Amino acid sequence: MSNRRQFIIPTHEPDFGKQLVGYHSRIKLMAQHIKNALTKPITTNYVLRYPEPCPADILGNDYLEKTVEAPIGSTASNSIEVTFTFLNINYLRFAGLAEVVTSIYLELKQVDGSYPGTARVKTITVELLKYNVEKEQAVSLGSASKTVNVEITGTATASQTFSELFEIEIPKDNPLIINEKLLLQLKVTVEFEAVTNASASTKTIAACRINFARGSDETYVRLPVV
Amino acid sequence: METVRIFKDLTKMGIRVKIVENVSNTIQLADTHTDEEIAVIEQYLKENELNYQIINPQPVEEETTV
Repeated sequence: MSNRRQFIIPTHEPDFGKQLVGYHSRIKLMAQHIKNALTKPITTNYVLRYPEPCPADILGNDYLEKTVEAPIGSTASNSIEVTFTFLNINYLRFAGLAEVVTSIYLELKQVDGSYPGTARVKTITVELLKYNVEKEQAVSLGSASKTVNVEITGTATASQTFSELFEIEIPKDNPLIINEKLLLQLKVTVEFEAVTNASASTKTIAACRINFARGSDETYVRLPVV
Repeated sequence: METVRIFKDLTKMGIRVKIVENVSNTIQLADTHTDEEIAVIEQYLKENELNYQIINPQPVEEETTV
């Protein structure tokens, strides 16, 4: 028997994405906004980037914000929706539990000084999608939703930031494969509302933001590579 | 809904509330309340099994100039 060391010779060219992150490891993709849109393979300003910590485009936005104003004595709602696309176009395979973390900012932006108003985040939904570049269609790989009812009630302006964890199972017997024609996307939707007291003379305005990743925190998705 | 209920309940009890929020579970009072009033709030929270911290602003001492 030979003492020569046995080498495993790959039968195909090594994949650079896999080499970079290693087999059976996790890849953390940071949700960011870039000022100058990416034009290939699709046109978008909202991207998923790695590795972490992942410095962001200094000219890009730090968050996406929307507001809602409630008439006197009623409730008004609004939603924010943003879809991030993974820049990587190498062949990659994912299977197992995907973790999505969202960072949300809620602000009671305007309120009556005597009668309390409320700013409330009702639900957060995250969805993983596979975008077919040739068909220009996205197919859902799974989603998760939570009714969080995070709220600020008061007679003065105030704000809070919070994070929420979601888990989406990618079947191990049917791994997610992405390449230059099938792109991974993360869609985040936040529903929020403002409430104005019936006796108030000033309408309540609620502001809500999805915070993009400036480093290793804020909104991201972590996927198991197989 | 919980923060709205807390705000209303405390206001009915004569407590002057500024903000109630359930991210860090905080009740911020509008002005300085006495120890007896704080005890009343704590009793209310206990009875309703609510876990909130109370922020009672301290009175601002006037500076005296010579």
